[in-house]
Amino acid sequence: MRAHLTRRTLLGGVGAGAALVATGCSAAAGRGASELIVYTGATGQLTNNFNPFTPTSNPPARGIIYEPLMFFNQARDDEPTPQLAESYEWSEEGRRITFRLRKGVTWSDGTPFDSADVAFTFELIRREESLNTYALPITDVRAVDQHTVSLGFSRPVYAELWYVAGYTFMVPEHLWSKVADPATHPNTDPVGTGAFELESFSPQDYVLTRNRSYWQEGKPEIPAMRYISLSGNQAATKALLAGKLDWTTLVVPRIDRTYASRRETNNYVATPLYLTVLIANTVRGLTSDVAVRKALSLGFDREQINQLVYNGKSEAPSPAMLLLPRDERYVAPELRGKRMRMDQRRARRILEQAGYQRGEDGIFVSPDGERLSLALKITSGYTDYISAANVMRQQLEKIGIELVPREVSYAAFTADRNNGEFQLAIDNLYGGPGPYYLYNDFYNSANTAPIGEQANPNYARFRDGTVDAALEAIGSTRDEEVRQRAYARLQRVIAEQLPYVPILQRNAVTQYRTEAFTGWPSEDDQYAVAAAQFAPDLGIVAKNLKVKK
Amino acid sequence: MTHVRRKVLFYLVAAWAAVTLNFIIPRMMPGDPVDILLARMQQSGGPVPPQARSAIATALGQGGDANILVQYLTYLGNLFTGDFGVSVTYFPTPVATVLGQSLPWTVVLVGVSTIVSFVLGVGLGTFAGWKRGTWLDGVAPLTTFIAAIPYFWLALVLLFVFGSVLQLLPLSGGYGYSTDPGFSLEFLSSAFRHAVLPGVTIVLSSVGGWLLGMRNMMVSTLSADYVLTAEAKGLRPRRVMLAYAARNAVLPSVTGFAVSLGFVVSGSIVTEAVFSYPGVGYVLLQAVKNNDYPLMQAIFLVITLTVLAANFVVDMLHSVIDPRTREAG
Amino acid sequence: MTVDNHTAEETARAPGARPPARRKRPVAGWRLPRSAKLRTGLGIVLAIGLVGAVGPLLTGDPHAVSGAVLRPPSGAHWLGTTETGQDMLAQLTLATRGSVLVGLVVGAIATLVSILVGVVGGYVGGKTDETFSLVTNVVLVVPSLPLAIVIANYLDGGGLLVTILVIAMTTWAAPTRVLRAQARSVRERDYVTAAKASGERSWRIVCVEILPNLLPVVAAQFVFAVIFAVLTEAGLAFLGLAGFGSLTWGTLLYYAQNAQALILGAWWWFIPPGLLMAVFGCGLSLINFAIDEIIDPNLRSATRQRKASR
Repeated sequence: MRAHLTRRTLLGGVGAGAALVATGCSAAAGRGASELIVYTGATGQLTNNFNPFTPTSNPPARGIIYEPLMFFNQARDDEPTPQLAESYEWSEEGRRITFRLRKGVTWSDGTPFDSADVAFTFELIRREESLNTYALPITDVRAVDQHTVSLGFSRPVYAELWYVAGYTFMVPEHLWSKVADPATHPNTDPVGTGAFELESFSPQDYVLTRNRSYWQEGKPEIPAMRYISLSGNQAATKALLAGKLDWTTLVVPRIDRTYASRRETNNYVATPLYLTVLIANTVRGLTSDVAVRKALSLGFDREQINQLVYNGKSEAPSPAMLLLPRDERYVAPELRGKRMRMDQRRARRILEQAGYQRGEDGIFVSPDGERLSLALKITSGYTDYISAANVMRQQLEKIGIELVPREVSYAAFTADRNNGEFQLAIDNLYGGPGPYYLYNDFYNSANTAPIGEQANPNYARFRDGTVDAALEAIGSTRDEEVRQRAYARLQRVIAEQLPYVPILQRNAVTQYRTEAFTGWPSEDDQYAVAAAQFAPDLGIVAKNLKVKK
Repeated sequence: MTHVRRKVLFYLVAAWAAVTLNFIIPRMMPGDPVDILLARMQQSGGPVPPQARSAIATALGQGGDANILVQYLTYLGNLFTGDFGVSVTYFPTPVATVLGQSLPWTVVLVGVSTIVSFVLGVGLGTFAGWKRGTWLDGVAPLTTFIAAIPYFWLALVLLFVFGSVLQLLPLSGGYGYSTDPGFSLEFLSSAFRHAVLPGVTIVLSSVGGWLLGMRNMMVSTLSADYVLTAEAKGLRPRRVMLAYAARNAVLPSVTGFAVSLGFVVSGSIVTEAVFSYPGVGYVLLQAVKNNDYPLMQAIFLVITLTVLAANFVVDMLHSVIDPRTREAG
Repeated sequence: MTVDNHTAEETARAPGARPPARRKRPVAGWRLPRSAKLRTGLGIVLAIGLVGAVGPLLTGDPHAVSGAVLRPPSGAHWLGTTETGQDMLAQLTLATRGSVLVGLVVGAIATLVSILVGVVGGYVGGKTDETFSLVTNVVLVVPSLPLAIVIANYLDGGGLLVTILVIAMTTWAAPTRVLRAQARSVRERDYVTAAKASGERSWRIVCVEILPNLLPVVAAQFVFAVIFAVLTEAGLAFLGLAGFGSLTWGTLLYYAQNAQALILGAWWWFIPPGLLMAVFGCGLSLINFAIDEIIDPNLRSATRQRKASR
């Protein structure tokens, strides 16, 4: 019967999808004041993944459940602070590190933590290329005694201590030695040393509760944290303003008016974290002329962008491309106290001296007869960049530079940026705890490639012998004097050459509510980066929070 | 039966063509999921030195660059085993798991909304066409006005009114934070409350289409000879309306309905995005934003097959409703 | 289009079985006389079209930023300003141009293609129909969202053109299915069979006998193609997946959403685009109502006389 067939097909079509649902485990009871609600920007269905080796794990896996040996604070110029290790020692000219481990630490299942776990973790990284995210050149791993571990490397790793001690999370040998493929293990039942344990998980939220046997005396104080998923920025802002979020890092429009002034307990803290820049293509087109890059940098008003687009919460950048005030002591003497400013007269003069002449339409023309019109690639949907580009376009027109903003999809943007298919591109540069990381990533000629091949990540394709030599010197010594001088040499070149034209030094603005919990990082005491999704700092913040009496 | 056999063959060819396109499109897309993961790592405080790129690529299993033909054959093979690989967005969750979690939400929400909308629209459209020129017919422009409102805008306004101002209904998600997915009364009622706003949005924005299409067809059918004959014979108006006019006028709407059932899986991306509804549309959006080829491919495949199945059903239905189309042509 | 011609035919074919039209008392609300419906609809669509065509010439640079941020409507800015002090009116007129363009172009393309592929295929049948159907079905199932991104990337952020292409590619298939089903049904009718028997050419039969009978459907399909195109564009743009660098109602809403205009209470930012979209769609529907009344004189605003059915 034809009709019968039809009906069956229909049912089959709908029924096929109706085989139901992955069950989460039971969530804790509803919200009390005993629970801190956190939003880290997770949208849609949460993935039950607490594997600290995967870049997609839920944030608490890195820093709250699993811990590194030391903590490197990116918010302040601190020495590394002990976590699972109490101290470390260099030997063999930076090719060996020996860690002395903390005693009396246990995994959350009660098993003692010792050097075997640390050795196991580093051995795992040495063996598995996909786990060795930072390509650490580990040659040997030795558990010297129960609380001492020694790591050998094939070259000096002074500059890579952050990766080794600060961003490698210790996993328990007794459980992970049974894991078949650590790179894809979802680790849904994590056992760590950290201040909180996973209590329950559902695709919409998960709950962490206090680890009562945590190694640090009297910490953590808060009983539980609930991490939730929301549909995005708008829903999150709504939830924040409705008092439903205690800790999040959102872009809140007119933050003082809409949020901070509403309640005594609504607070925020700004942490300088990265630089927003114009990446200039230094090998192709008009931006390969340093005069154009200089004029560009002098031609627009950073403060207006800051006020219009960023609530006035960002700052003019240093020509040394550092984060201030954190890196104050690394700034070259002649750049001290300097911030990038607009000077349109000087911008015009630089172009004229380089042989550019105003055309009929007021736009400069190069000595070779090329109009000074620069296409600027922007990721479509990054509205702050689009607004910033509009401000720049208006101001640069006055000094005879035509800026043409072009929106492309994020995928296209990254592809073009990596392959050098752009004239100018707007993007963020991140560093690490200290200036070396940003300099080495973005200015070292080892990290670039010819046009058409992937630069990784020196997208400006900047090559300079002085800079390379300085980076080499900084990476292979611990002598502060030598390093300072090398930094100064490097900064002189990059402030002059401007392969990346800095727009603003950007702050991550983190909102927190002191209704029930206090002890947050503040502008006077940036003991960690306060951002809710920022690892491993989120663990440091979580365990230092206090319950309001 | 040859008719059915030919149809089946035809749909198999169409399915093959669509499946092949699904294979090609993601490979034409620019960019690389590695970049997205690196950016994510950066924003969450992780160091991203130059070396990180190759490690992440290895972890994602991008090491072996098999040639395109091998990839294609593997892909076709995987279609039959349901092995779609590992998602990038939700790494290391297998794609099949992600799909299994999100599909039911979408099928129930959009399926029910579509059916409600169709029944409402066709019912009202029948009346509006029949009562042409009376106040009832005046409903039609009103619904088209509602249909012309961008539905995500409607969604935002609804959210604002019911969720924020009146606080009657939940703002986002598929069920409450403190409930357990399962077949408990608590969970089902929570899920229902969460589905109201997105459901209403879908119904409101699509009912006008059904109404207008049905009304227009009713209007032209009512002037057909057989209807006039039926009326002349003095049959009861209701019988004329339903058995003669509506039965024939509903054809294109049924076609449209079957087609739209095919779009149940994909047709609600924006709505799901606004309400953060844990369905396929939302997942697809994440996949597109993250260059998550394995996940994209699997979702496309599901969409493809549902749409094809729906069209297949339409063809079969036509043979039943309107036997004249069956004569082999 | 031979509307008059066809009207005459239709009238001739209906053997006077209809009582004379009786003028109805107007009922409050939507009861407008027929021509008024058409006038209103056309008026709305043309007015919005005019805003799009001429508006951008009269307003300032829509991208220009200023210090007057998030101002409500005033003498200086009739529709207020955005959070970067851009003039809303200038943005809205340009966005109107973009959206109307997308809607009309896509609607035209989709309708033409659906007539060609659907009606012709449905009437001719056989191999042609099979091939057409195959293509239609394949297009029906190609997910438009990533396609948009792929194409946009190839054309390096080609703006509206890309959006139009993508939406047109995915819009024509659905009406084609509907029209094909209709055409297959109609081609079995007596008058078509008669025309065939009298040796009429196929294209004449399609144009003269079949198409006029399908006109209400075609009209409805066109209206919906336009509305669908405007909404699809808006949806894609709202998700940040279309309108690369060009302003449309959708991108305006996207920017408003991004700047959280709802939270800031900047109603002048997100209400106008949505409203304009709805009004535009409404105008199109009115035209649609009027069209089918012109096509079919039996269906004018008079009610058909019959016993009231409860």
